[in-house]
Amino acid sequence: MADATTTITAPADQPAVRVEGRKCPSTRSRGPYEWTLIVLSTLFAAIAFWFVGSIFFKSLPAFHQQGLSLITGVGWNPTDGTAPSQYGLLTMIIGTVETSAIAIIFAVIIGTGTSLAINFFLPARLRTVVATMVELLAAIPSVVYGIWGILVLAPWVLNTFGPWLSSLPGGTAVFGTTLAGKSLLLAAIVLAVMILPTYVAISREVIGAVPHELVEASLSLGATKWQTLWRTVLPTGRIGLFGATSLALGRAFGETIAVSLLAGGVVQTNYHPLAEGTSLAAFIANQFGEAQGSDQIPALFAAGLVLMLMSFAMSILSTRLVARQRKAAMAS
Amino acid sequence: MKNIRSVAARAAAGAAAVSVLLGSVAGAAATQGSGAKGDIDLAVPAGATLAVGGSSFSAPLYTYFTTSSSAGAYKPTHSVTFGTDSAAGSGDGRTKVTAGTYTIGFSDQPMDATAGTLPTGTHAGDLANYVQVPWALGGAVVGYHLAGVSNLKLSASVITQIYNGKITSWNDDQIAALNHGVTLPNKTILVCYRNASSGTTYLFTDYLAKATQGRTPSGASGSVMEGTGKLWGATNVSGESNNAAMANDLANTDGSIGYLEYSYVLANPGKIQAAKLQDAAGTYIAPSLTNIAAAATAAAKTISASNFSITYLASGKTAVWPLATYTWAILAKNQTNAANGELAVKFLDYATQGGQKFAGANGFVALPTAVQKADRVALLTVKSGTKVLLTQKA
Amino acid sequence: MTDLLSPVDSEVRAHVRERAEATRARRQAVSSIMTALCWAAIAVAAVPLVMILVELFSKGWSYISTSSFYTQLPQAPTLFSQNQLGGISNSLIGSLVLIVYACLAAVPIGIGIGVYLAEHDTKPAAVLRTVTATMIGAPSILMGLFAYSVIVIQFGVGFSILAGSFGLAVLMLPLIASTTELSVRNVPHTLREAGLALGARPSTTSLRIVIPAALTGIVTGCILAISRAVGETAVIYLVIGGTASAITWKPLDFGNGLPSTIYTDVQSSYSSQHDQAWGIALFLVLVIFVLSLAARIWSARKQKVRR
Repeated sequence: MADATTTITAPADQPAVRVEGRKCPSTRSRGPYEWTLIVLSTLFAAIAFWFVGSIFFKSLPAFHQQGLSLITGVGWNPTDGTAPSQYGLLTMIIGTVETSAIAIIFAVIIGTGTSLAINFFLPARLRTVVATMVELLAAIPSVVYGIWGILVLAPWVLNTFGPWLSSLPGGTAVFGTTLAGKSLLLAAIVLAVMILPTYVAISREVIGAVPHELVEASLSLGATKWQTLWRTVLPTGRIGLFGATSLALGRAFGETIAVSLLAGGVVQTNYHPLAEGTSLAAFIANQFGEAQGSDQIPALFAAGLVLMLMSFAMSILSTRLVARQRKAAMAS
Repeated sequence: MKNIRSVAARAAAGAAAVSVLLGSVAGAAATQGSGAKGDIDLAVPAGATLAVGGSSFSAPLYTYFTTSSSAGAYKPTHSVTFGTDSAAGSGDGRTKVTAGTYTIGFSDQPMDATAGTLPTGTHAGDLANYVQVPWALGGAVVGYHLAGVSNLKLSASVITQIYNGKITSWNDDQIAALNHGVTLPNKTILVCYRNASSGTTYLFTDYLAKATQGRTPSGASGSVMEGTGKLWGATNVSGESNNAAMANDLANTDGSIGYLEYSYVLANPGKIQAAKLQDAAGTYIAPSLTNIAAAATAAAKTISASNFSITYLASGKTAVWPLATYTWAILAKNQTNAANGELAVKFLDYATQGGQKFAGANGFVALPTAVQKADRVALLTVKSGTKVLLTQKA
Repeated sequence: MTDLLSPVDSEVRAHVRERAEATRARRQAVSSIMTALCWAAIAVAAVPLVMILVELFSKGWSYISTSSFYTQLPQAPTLFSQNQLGGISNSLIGSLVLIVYACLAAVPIGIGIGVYLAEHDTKPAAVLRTVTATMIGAPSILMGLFAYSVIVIQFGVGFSILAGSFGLAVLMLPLIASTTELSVRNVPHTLREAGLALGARPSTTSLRIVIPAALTGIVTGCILAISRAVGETAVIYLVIGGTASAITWKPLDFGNGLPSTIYTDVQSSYSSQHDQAWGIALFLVLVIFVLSLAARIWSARKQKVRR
């Protein structure tokens, strides 16, 4: 339990053991110690509800002004006051989903392979070293991944990868001859690199926790190494792997800085992965400092609200699914 | 006369934006640097700090003045600390000066209720608390990067169509028609625009709107815009956070087009070309300090916070650059920190008076004398409590 | 074996064996291909991460190995003087101050909540546990929006270090709470029972026996929360104001933090500022590595001692 990532999943993944007979010690009398804890906890609960409430209420004026078109519309058009402003969050929502989806596909495939390799192919001595390294990498702040993307990858796309795509047969027709260095795909790839250590840190533990007896039983029945991994190890660890996926996905959803640097921050209807776009979180960071007038900030809070609902929905969904799968696993 | 009345009304309302009637202001004019009694004393209290930022359009000039190693740096007797943030845009300048983060906020548009340039939380009534001075004169250009092609001529209509995705390739017939004898490559155009509130965008769309009789930037209700704006129709686009980022992408991307402040082109010789645009008579001209300066001379006689645009106003005049603008400095009329406030006004006085002789080397045009005079009058109204901060030599 | 299957025709038997051989061969082939792919996955995963570390060190080292990097204020480059830079002293102190204020609030409250959660299996505790888990998963930019609406606007404090610290504290709180809960739960309950059996009150048992026993885990959790907060960009970028030209520790002043300086540096058009961003990033990464490793080693050693 020494690293942040495993600690995060622990409540969902492996609930602390409840011991029968260990009753709440406060049932008899509440001393100052008890009261302190209760006050602190109430304070936190208050902060949490205030957190949700303030983002909700701050965004109300935008919904009032724009109606549902705030969610379904496209465009970000603060006006000079002569006409009503028009804001639509659809581009940002699609951008968020698109970048996260691409990123999670890459991360899960590569990450699961990596975890299997770490657990089953790597010599035991190397295993702890690699594990520690992965956990350290998971702690690297996202802005560092962001500068790598914008200062190393984007110029490479611009000068090498883009021209190469255009030189392919038919490439010009599909990609044009001038690609921007930044794109939704670039943002998604950097996101994948960024959430990979987070995913591996957990999936490695999950796979490592699969009982050895199962593996040995499968091998002794004549299954090949891969059959064992595919039919025995992965299904056994699926609950944990699912938890790891949803955690990594949550991180991709909310990632602000890397996407703001790499996606280009433009609001438009071309959702091609090689085109520029933006995500909810990145758009807030891009616009916040420059926002003018009385209606732009509420609209940005509305983007925050949508992001919050998406992330809460994700978290509730994953908790539910993990709980259901666990129940099913226990029943069988 | 309407302008004069509006100036009077503004003054009566207590708004402190400078209103300059070119040629008719008799201000506290004084030349810089003679050290004579009565001159502005540029010395400031020790330990003063000055946080400035905003407009990336004027950033080349104000960072030049705040940089101790440059020849034209502001050098008061005591050492001062500058905090400059050049990674932003005009909206940032206005927001942070009203929030108090910046002592001076730079913006290409002054704050004005009707223009929609009031930061969140600021109301029309609050404008009386700020002094807004036009402190530099510069021009934007339409920049492009196209290997082997220079001196490209572009009309406002063609630019509009490029930005709306109607023209997507450099060898489009309409571009070719304007540029006889130029071999245009078959290359997709990468359309670069600013992705947040930007004074340069305002200048650019204002020009397009006026030059094409309001049929820009996109569709029927297209109007001047400062933000990310209505959807540009173009789909092969790149969003830029400031002039610097725009210059960066233009310099590195063959096939790109964008709009940016003139000096960024000067600083990237050979990498970014400035397109020739039409003056009011329809002649194609390349940007130069001379024709940017001509814009100011040829413009309307009045500039104020609500009427400051000099773009394309010099109707009928030839050799006038269509994308010229004053750019503004905004500061609170009542400075809470006297030392920092004193540094701010003295810095601005230097920037608008003695410092103007360095404007040309940085891609800007020296302010007309009348504007300089009006700026000083305005700066003299900045106080800390009751103390006037722009002090004179005893 | 074969004798028992006597009625089976030998031809059929040969056929079956053949089929089995073929299947085994195919399975083996698939297995080795997939094994190779797993190795490839490690390589694919490692390449970008190694690239990042190499870039960090090669571009950033020359900055973090000079003293002016830490002692000087920044100097923005200009178009015609593109290489001047100065240092990052203001962001360095800024980050430190932001973290210290955030810790002042988040550490005691977070530990309190964690202990409460560990000692209570009641309904409110269950709700609070869900809230904690949800807050951990909330995108950090939302903490920035929260700090903006509460500290900057509602309380009228304006852009300030305080607002940044508030946002970071909200970010750290659930992290600290959940690690604390786990550490306290991991204390063997025989310890608590022993305390209670000796006649100590529950509060005394908690304060004197259980919490000290869980201290290693709690401190580790706090350090890890700090290392998370120190690299957090989105929260502080929205609310601290930036561009502080001076070094300050006052909560109501505008501040600057290392991550937000990276973010603005990298958006500059000057390559000198890009290089400086690498320098700051390397410094930040080293700080985080040292913090995480220290927490890890310390907790491992403590655990060994206890055993």
